[in-house]
Amino acid sequence: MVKLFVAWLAFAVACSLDPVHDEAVADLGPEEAGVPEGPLHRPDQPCLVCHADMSVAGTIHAAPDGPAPIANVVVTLTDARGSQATATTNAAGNFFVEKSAWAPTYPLHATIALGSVNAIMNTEIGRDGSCASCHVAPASRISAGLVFLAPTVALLPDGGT
Amino acid sequence: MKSSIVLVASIVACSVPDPNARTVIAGPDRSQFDLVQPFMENSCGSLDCHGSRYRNLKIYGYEGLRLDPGDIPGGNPTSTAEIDATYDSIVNLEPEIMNEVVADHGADPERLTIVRKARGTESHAGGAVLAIGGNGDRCFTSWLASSLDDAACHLAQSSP
Repeated sequence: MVKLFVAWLAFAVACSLDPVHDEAVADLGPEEAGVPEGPLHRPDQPCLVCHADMSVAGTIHAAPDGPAPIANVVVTLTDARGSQATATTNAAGNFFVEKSAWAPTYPLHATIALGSVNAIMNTEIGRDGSCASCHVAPASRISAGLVFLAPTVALLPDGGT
Repeated sequence: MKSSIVLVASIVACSVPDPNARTVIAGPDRSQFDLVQPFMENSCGSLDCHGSRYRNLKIYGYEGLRLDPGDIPGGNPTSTAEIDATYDSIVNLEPEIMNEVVADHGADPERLTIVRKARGTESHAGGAVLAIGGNGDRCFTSWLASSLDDAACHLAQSSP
C-alpha cells in the first residue's frame, strides 16, 4: 500500500499539474548563450512566469532612438493603498521587487527616473507584475511597446550610455 | 421494456441545441454608453486586465487594447468603433440575463456576472473595483436601468 502511494506521489510530482504554466515557460525559450541564470538574464521577458517569489519585475530601456537597456534607473511603484517600493535597474536594464519585501494591493502606479529625467506610466497596472506581459516590441494594438525612460537619448545623461 | 427506456433516455440525452437559435439582444442604450466607456477604460481596461484579447470581457480604447491593427495603446483617441466593440463585448457576455436586467429597469443587477465581479461579491482577479453605491457602480447600474447618472459617470473617470 505504501509502495503504491509512493509510486502515485512520484507520478504526480513528475507530471505537471499546470500545463498552461508549463507552456508559458516553454514559450520563453532557452537561456541566451553566455548569460548565466541570474539578475541579468532574460531581459524583456515576463519575469513572473517563473519567478513566483517576485511581485513586480521588468526591463527598462533608454529611448526609442537608442533602445539599449539602461542601468541605474530608479523604479518607484505605488499600490492601491499608497504603499511604495523602489528598485534600481541593473546592467541588463532589469529590476525586480521580491514579494517578501513588498506584496502590493493592485492596481499599481509606476514611475521611472534617472537623475532629472523621469517618466510616468499613464495607465494602472491591473494585475500582472511582469512588465513584459504588456510591454513587448514592437508596439502594436495589443502592446504598449518596450518601457523607455526618455523620448530620445539626447535627453539622457551621457546620451544614455 | 428496459431497453426501450434506455433508448429513449439516450435519445433525450443526445439531443443537441438548435443551431439556428438566436438570442436577440435588447441591451441597454448604446448612445448612453459613450459616458460609461471612459471610466471602464481607466478602471478595467489596462492591457493586463480586460485590455487583454484573452478575456471574455474585452475593453477597447486609447490606453489599452486597440481595435484597429494600425493603432497602438496611447496612440489615437478612443474611436467610436472601439466604444461599439466594448459595448458589444459587455452586452454579449450573458445576453439572456442582460435582457432580463434591462427589461426589469436595472433591478437586481447582480444577476450579471460583470456586476458581481466588479463589486467583488464574486471572485475577481482584479478585486473589488467598484464600491457598491460608488461613482462607477452608480454609473454602470444606472446605465443598465436606462436612466444614466451622468454626474456619477463623469466623477467615476477620476474616482471610480
